[in-house]
Amino acid sequence: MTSDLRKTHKILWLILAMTIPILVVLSVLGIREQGLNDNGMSVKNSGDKKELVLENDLFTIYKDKKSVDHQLLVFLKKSLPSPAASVYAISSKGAKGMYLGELDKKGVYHFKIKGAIEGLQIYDEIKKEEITNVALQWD
Amino acid sequence: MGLDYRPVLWNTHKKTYDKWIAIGMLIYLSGFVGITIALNPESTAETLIIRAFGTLSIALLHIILAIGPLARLHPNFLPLLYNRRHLGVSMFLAAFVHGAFSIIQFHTLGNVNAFYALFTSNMDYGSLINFPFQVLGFFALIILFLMAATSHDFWLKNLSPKIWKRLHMMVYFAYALVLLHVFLGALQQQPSFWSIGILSLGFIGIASLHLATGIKETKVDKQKAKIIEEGWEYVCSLEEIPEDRAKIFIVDKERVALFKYDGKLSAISNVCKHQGGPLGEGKVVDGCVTCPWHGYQYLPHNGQSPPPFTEKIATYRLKTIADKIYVDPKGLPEGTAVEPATF
Repeated sequence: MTSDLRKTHKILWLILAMTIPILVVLSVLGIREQGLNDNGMSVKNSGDKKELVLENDLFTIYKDKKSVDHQLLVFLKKSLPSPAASVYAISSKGAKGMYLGELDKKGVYHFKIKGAIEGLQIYDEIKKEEITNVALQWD
Repeated sequence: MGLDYRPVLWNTHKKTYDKWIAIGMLIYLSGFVGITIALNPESTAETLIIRAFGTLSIALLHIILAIGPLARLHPNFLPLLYNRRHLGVSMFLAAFVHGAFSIIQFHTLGNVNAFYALFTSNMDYGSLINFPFQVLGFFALIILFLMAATSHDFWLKNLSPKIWKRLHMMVYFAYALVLLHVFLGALQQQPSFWSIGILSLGFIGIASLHLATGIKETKVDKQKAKIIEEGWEYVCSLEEIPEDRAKIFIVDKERVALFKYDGKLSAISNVCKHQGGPLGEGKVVDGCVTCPWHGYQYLPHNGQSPPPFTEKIATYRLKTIADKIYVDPKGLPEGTAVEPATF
């Protein structure tokens, strides 16, 4: 290696040694905060304003008591096996009913529903298969 | 050294090296798939392939980046440097499988072009946490492809060593992109203490190796001639140089190798024309200075590669007074013949 190349290597690695740790630390800090906050509302304190209708490993789902049009607040805690999935209401007869919206990455989702529903069906439109069904408990 | 450009100049060492690369990759992939299926039987084949080849390529990249500084710190690592380019191409192939399957899995089967979807499915370029990590991986793969495609000596010669070296130093930029691709991508979706720890340790290890080597080499570069008489710089005494070996010293910030062979002394540039290897750490074989990295050879008295090869390096004039050796710091043009000093 010539002296110029040695100098270039040193400069490059000094830059990497300074910038990469900063970006990595910021990204790791972001892991804890992202996805489970909706306008400052976390999973823990949502119960004060909403009615909890489901809690499991994948979802925490609240129903908004006060709104005229019912609204479901869905916290998706971890990624689904499918990159994008459709959400359908399950009717009283257990059949797939109204289309509510889409789920993709971990985060908070709002779905409008009409009245009480038996549950939700999460469906993979590409593979044409059901990912999961969740039953909701209403007071 | 090769006069005609063939895809690979196979020899026993290269075959052994490549055999171990293939074995290592197979063991890693089998182990990864086996452990993943055991812990998570519902994993799909596409997810397994994407993760197995993605992690394999990252592991290989760490090994490749470690080889250079390790070879500078201890000569026992030189055999790893010899065929490093095959390791690099293998790493690119693993990364390509990961990238191809990821694009197929996540961006095809829609109603837009897969590459268009890659760049537009997430447009949050202003956020760090939600940054489109797929784009980072894509550009890292492009860099690795360009490096793999130009890894042959044909490109080294035809692109010019300077441009070729600049292109191949982009591996450091690709490494940064790969790290961010993982930390802003997979680890955001499925945080794992072990993954974060292993990758962080990997970066700390690689960066430490490179910086430690840089500090060591800087100390060598700062050495200056202690005795200068009438324009001639004192190098060392005759006994300090082993037979058929060299003493490396600094002249005008560049390194020069002083070889002792057959009762003669010759000084040439320490930098091999092939890939900048340290000629002074090699030895004289069959009358030729032989580079320890890839075996390129030069005649010590004129810095020229033996015919039919055409590489040339700079030479330096020498004189001896008793057993003391002096060098004229003004280097001569590449390939200039200099009568060896005798003793």
